[in-house]
Amino acid sequence: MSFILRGPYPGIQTTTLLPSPKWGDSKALTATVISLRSMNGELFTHVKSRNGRMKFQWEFEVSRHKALELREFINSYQGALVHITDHDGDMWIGYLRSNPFEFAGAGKAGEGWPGNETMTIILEFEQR
Amino acid sequence: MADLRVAQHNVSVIGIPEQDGELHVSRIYADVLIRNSNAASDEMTLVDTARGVRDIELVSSTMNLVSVATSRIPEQSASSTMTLVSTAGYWIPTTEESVSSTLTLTSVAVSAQDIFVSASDTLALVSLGGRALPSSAINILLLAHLVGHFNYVDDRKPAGHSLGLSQSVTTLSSIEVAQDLGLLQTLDINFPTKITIEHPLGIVQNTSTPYRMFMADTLSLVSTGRAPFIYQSVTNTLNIIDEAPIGVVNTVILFTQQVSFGYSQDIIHDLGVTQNLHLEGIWVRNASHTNLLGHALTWYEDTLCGKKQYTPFQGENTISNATIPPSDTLQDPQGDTGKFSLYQPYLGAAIEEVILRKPEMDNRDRNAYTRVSEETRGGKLIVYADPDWPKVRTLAVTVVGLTETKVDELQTFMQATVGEEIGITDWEGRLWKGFITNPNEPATQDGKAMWTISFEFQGEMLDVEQPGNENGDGMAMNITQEVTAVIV
Repeated sequence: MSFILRGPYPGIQTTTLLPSPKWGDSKALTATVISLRSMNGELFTHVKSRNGRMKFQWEFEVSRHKALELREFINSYQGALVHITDHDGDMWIGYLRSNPFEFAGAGKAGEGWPGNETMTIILEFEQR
Repeated sequence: MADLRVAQHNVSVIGIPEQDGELHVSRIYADVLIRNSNAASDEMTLVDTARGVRDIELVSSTMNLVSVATSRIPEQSASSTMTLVSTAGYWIPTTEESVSSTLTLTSVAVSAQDIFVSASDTLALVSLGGRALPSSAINILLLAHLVGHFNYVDDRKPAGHSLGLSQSVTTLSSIEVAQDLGLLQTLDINFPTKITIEHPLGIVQNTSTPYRMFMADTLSLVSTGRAPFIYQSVTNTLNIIDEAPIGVVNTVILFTQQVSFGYSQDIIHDLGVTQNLHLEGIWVRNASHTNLLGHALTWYEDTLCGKKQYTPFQGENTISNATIPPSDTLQDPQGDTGKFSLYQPYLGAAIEEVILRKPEMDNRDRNAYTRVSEETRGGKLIVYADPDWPKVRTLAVTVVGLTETKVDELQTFMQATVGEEIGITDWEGRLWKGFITNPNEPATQDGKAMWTISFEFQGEMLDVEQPGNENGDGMAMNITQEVTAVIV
């Protein structure tokens, strides 16, 4: 299953394919709760539900050339809505929220592997 | 044979005055019989005049004119012309008065053969105004129905005005029925005075009764055609033409047609709205068009190579202000990977230079962007970034296995160039210019003659060859990326 990045949304022009992310991907609500307790012990909660928005984090290990392609994609659409079809086939629309986007060298690759290196990148994504 | 003429005159006085000179009542009856002639006419004048000092006076004239022409010849003509004048004048107070004129016009033309016959009634109301100022000439045909009697059962009775113009022709040939309610006002004046000609066709209903009322104004144009044929045509045409030499011309019309019939039907709405605007002068007109409509298209091939190669699948985007898409070709390709060096100046021949072994694989390429993130009250996330806003690129590298001499050489270089722009040729042969952000980063000894040092370099990539190359004279440098590169 491919991990598909498309942008900009809704006028999608560019599609970048990535391999499935590594284990350890996560998804979470963006809602927050602040609890306040009065002098007599009564509890109050201040809630920001954020309309059920979700945020995700995926880590990819890609070839050096694919990392360059992903960097170009981020460079173009870091301020625009993007459309993501994740490795489970679920589709999300939102923003790439990582800042900075850090590409880390992961290891040497053999001949024929584009760029002869692998790199890892962590993408943080948040629904609009 | 000579014409036969019979004439009878009978004059009688049917009233007896109480006193001489107070009342004059007379009746004249004239009957003229004419036979075998082409013309028959009656002409008679009745004048009743009552003058008196009594409270109640009743003056009435009743006259019937009947012209009957019966003949075997095909053409006949019968006409009645009558003038009724009723005048009541009072010179003392009175309590009751009655002035009335009853006019009945009946024309009957009957023929036993299928020949052209005609029947017409003409009621002409003519009022003439002389040269008096102001002058007026008014014809009023007033139909008034008043209903009284309230507050008992069935007290509310309709009161209506009905002005019916009806023509009916029954024949075996073609049918043409026309009703013409012509309202025409003509005003001719020889002076440049404001002229107003109006045709008010007002339908007004007013009420002040507290009872529940139903009021409606209906102007119906109905044309009905019935014929023993399959196809019928019913057309209502209402032409409203506004013409103005200057100003605003506005025409508003609602047009509804409904046809109910079992055979083929056609409903045609012919709405002709004509506006004419005549201008004299030169008018500059601009036609502008804002391209608000664009399209976008993308595609991809889900292959194994597509997940590894530099293959951004580029479609098309004609939407205005669209984001600049990524480049189709590989960016930042590897150049000469022979050495990893730091030098100053970053262009031209290096004055100071340190050559290191290549860094470890955990090198970092950090790309930070300036963005604005906002969250609406409804929890919607909005992120905006301008393409011209700063982008900071940082390279973070760690070099291991250095000798102490190499570490000293590097720290001496950093001390000499602290805060200044230096050049770096990285392990992929790419050239950068920037500065080291953490010259105080300690170097550690991991073993005998094994030192490790890390540093971060913030700068931007240059699109030039390495200094010292035959193409690297530094005179034709182009900065292609507004990127800040940083090293570790």
